Amino acid sequence: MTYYILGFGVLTLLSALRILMGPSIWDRLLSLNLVTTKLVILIILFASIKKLPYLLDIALVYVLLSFTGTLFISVYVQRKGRL
Amino acid sequence: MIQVALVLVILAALAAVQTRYLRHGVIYLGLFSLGIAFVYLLYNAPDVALAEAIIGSTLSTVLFIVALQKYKIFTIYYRVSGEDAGQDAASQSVIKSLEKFCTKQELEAQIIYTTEPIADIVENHQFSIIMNKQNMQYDVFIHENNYKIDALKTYLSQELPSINVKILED
Amino acid sequence: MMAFTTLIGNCLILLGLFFATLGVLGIYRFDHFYSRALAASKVDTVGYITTLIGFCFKEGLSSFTFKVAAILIITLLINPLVTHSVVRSAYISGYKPRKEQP
Repeated sequence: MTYYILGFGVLTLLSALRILMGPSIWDRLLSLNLVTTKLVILIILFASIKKLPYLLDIALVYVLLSFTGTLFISVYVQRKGRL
Repeated sequence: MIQVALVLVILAALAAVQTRYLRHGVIYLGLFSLGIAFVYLLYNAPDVALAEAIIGSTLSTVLFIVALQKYKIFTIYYRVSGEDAGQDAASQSVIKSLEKFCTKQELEAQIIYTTEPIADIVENHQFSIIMNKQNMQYDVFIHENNYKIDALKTYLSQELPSINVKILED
Repeated sequence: MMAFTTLIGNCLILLGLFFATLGVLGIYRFDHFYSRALAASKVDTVGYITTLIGFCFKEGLSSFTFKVAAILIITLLINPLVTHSVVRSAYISGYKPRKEQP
């Protein structure tokens, strides 16, 4: 189990590094999506390790809401600032 | 694990503070709120993590984007003197070039023709830049606190080298 | 029987970890934006689906499994939407590959 946490944690860090250094704004948005999915997997891992199923509600909220911000920013960039 | 998450959060916050582009800052803040929600989860506070995931990653992003949308008008005062109404071809080409600059920076150009002297405009109106035409010589006045000053200088030195930029001080 | 499903779950999670690693590697290795979008969407989503199915096998039939299945279905609906929106935004804005642009 610890190895899973280690692996997904390293992947999260690498995706976050791509956000910090990505050349264009769309690279950053894609990497933000990647970080969200990796964090959801990490939360499910923690819920599975600690046997606390209510932690899954947080993962559900992450999944349901995290796409709104990405969608807003991409539409904002696409329309050159007119929302 | 928790130390790594905290380092990630601090990196995102530093990047959000010192980036040059405001849109990139919004994305860094999204990363920051995702990371800090995970840190709350590791500190055994799932309810706070829930609130942070809702507010931080959705509501604040939308609010920042709406605020950025409001913050985009670039006011150009074009000062014409007397009979010359600023309609001749040379003035129009200069204005078109400035509008191109605004489009490049994703700002919206708002051009106001006026006949008041420059001191009155500086004192009484909100302006981004003032253009003055005198004896076929164009001058651009820009306030020293304007944050587009470097971009405007580099753009004008490439496109229209005949215009000289003058900086107004307080 | 119990150990068998746990074994299958562990294998699936390892496979998912492998696919996710390939996705992150693709983010770094490809040098065009659109191929990076391919790596970030398809390969990573395969890893995500495999990992979550692995968790379902590992936990057996309980409320945990149903919640994980709900997360999986929602993600299958949302993930292509986000990638399509981002790539469409880049294409309409005239982003050409091989051109660095802030």
